[in-house]
Amino acid sequence: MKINLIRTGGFIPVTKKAEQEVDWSEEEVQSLIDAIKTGEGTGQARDKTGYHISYNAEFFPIEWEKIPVKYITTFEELKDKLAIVKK
Amino acid sequence: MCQNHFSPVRCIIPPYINNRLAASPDKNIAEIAINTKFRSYRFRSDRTFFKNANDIEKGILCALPRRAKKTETESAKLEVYDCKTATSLTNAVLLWENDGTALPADVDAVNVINAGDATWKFYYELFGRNSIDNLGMTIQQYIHYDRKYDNAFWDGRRMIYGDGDGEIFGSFTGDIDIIGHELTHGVTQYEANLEYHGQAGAMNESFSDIFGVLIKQRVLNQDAKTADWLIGENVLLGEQYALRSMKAPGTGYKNHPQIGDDPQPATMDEYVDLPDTDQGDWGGVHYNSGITNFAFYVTAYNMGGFAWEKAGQIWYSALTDKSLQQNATFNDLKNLTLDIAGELFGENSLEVKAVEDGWNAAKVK
Repeated sequence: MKINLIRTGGFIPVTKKAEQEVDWSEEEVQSLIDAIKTGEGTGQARDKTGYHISYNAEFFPIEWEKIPVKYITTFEELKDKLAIVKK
Repeated sequence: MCQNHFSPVRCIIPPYINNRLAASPDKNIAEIAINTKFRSYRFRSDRTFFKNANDIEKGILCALPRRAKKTETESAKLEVYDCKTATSLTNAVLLWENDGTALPADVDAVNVINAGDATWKFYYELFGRNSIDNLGMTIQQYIHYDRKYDNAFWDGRRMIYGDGDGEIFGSFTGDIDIIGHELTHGVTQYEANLEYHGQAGAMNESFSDIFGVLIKQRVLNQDAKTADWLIGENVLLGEQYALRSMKAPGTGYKNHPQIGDDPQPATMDEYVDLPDTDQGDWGGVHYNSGITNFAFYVTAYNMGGFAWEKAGQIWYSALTDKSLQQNATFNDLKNLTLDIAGELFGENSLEVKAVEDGWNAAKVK
């Protein structure tokens, strides 16, 4: 299956996206999403960027620090591949 | 008080508590509380004075920036941390603090030290404000955040800067206006604390752009008519590009091969309605700030001289005015700046006319 990492926000609002093939099961992905998803909102942060994953046409804001060690390499690779989505 | 500058909430002290602290037998606590009380009242007192001043007094006092008397004890407290391209702030290494240590060799560190100092001086020398929280908070700046991170942000208690990807964006320490912008988010947090969505969010962004650009203009000794009013002209690589233009919102970058066109509107009839989500830039806070930026630019241009002297004073008064609500609208800010200009310079003054013309140019009715 394919998983998408999306970065939004920033000093100028730019959206970046990367896609990668992974051999994770449906249950595994769902469990991962449950573990790393976070609520929307900025708190007192300003101009900060946020990460999201899209899966099955759904869009989940995630907390990078919560990504389990097992998946961090995949997410780091995705982060390195992020490219600007041209409007 | 305010022992822990990582917890901004702890630094908001109600007047009745401050009054008790001012009467404390502990000389150090009393001194801090009295200074806090003095600074809190100072701006309101200034406005009352100017309201009752005659034309000659106003002519003399308003022509020059009002400088606070600097004491031996008040100066910027700065710290710079190196994230070493990681994202952990906890593991960042203290690179420099202003305890007499020589400046580091790191260019980004020197950039944020100079800009941090210029920002502290701007707020202190012009408005008597002692740092972000007006209580002498240490200005902590984190550089080399993440790998090729193309952004800078305020996280609620400190500034964080990326090195840029080196292709589209250079280091985010490369423009003093960006550093001033991020530090001003802190000032706004401790003052009006404008909500970060919709019109209030756009004004939050706009106050940061305005004071960021004024800090740059003051360092460069540029007046309103000769300044370029660009933000982030070094950060966005390519000579023809800048991240934003306050003089002509929507022209910061055009036909950029990667990021296209600057989407900022200059006028209210072009207001961008976006969803109040992360993807929707919280209702377009970085888009619609162009409208209030343009109102400020026209005001400052029409007033002439150094923009921080009159227009900047009016906008700072508005930001610190207790009547500016967290969910304020552009119209609220328009009315407030008109009232303040009238109090400071006279109801029929050219300054009030300049503010009115500024908002009219931005088509904020």
